[in-house]
Amino acid sequence: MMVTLATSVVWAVGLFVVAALSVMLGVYLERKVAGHMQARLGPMRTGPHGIAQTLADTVKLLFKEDLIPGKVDRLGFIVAPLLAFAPALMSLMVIPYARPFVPRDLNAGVLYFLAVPAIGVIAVMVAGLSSANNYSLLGGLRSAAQLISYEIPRSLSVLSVVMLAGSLSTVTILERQTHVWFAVLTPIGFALYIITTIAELNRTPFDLPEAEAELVGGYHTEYSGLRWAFFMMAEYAGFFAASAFGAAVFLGGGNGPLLPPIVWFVIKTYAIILFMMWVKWTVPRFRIDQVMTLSRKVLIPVALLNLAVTAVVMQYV
Amino acid sequence: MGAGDILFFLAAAVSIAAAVVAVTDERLLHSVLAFGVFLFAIACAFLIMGAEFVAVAQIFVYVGGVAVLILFGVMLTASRGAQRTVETEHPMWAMVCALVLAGTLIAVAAAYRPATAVQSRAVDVSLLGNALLGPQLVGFELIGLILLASVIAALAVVRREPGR
Amino acid sequence: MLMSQRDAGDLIFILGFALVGVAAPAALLFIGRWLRPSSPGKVKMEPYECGLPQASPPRRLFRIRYYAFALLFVIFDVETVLLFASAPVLKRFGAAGLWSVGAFVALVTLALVYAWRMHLLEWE
Repeated sequence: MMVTLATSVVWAVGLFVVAALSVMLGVYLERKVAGHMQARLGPMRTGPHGIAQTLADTVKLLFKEDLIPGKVDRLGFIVAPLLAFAPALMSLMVIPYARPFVPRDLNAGVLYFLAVPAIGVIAVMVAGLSSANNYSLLGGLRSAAQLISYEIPRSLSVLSVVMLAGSLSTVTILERQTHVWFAVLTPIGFALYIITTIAELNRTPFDLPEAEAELVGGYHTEYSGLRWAFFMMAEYAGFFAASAFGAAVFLGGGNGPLLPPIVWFVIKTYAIILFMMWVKWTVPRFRIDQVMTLSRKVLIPVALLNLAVTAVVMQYV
Repeated sequence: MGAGDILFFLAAAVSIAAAVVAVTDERLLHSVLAFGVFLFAIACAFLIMGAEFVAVAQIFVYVGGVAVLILFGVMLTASRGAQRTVETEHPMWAMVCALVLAGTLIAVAAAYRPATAVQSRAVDVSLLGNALLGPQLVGFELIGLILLASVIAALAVVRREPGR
Repeated sequence: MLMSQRDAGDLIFILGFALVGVAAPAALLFIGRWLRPSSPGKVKMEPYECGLPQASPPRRLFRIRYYAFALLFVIFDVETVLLFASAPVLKRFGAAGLWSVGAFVALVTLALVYAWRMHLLEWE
């Protein structure tokens, strides 16, 4: 038992480092992509081409005063950022990095990956509720409503892959893609996954909960410094996790000719990440009612239809 | 006493402790958080007993759905400093009911004798699927019916308010 | 020994990751304690409303829409979980399986249609 515990902690710490690095890279990429798409250069000063920008920002945040407003519920306020970040790390546990180099291959891995962000929803609500601030409460409510609305179509989109592969284990799903990617067999499912993931990550065009003009900072209004940084880390770590999962489950992970599997895996993951960034800086933001009706009236029916179609396809594959 | 046994009793202890906090803590937020811990501990217990799918489903539905629902309720109705008042007009009857319920549960649990020896293998996920679509198909469809009925019933309550 | 060795391993892994997930940020906060300044002031303690004094005390807001959405969500959550249970073995059941699951999905879709027709899916 101790050996297993030690193994898991080593994996977890290792993945924490990976997550932290991917967060730094993600934030940097975000600003560079945003810059270039807006015909400017983005960060350039800190390090060559601004590479050290995120590191500098992180160090700055470490030095900021830890401000806990007077009327907050202390337990909730302190616990919320931790509750937000932990699921992101936990979801990294079932992703098969580079054929199949996976921390733990759970038999119900796919469902685990989809279930763990539910804890993150609780974190958002607790943050909003414990902040003793009207805007935080409202932002928390809206954000949570959006998150749960998109969990269903997201799960349904992955379900089509589960049907095709006949298994809930991420490793098995990866192995079944040696001939053809599941994104090819269920393109609508893949498209749905991308769209719903963008919504789950609160990214434009679904980023109303963070819309500054409307809700100040939404549920993280009262958070400053390092505590706020944890919410950011949770978001970008989740971004990386979701893209890696999509790459493994829809795009065949590490499979590919010539290059070693880990390289393919990174390429596919970052292809998804860059695509989502591209969307973010191109498309204007949806209104909250558009966001909610989209998930209920459009995406869920489309997801169900996709399941029906895929089920039929599956009989012939 | 293997690793699994220790973990099981640990999960059980945590779930009981969390349940007690959930029921007794006066601040609603703490109560709900304790409820969340309780659900998570139950999921861990399921996992150790070999029911992988159920454990994950527990997180997905209970933590992801029910706990969220309760939090929505708290956020929509609580005044600042959400205190809970425990008031009932019939404390003695409540006590009697609680004791009867507890007694029944304990009696049932103590009388349980498993038909076969307890397995030490995990229940494969496909076993559940095979059962649902095979021998338990009627049950499967009945669940669908119950879900439909639940939606109609729940939304009937909501419908009376025109959204304001 | 009563319990499965493998599942103990699964759980240990999950708990290990959860532990690091909570402890690592907490550790960062702890380290920061020495680096951070601390100068509490009355104005800093007030809730933030764009720099103005607080306009209204945190008050109740009751939009039943939110609760209705969450209710619907729980129902669809259960449906999704059951679909996840039956999906991996669907191929084995062929056409009969498709009909079974189809009937199940149809029932729950009826629920969605009901909510839609009752204008309960609209937001504002």
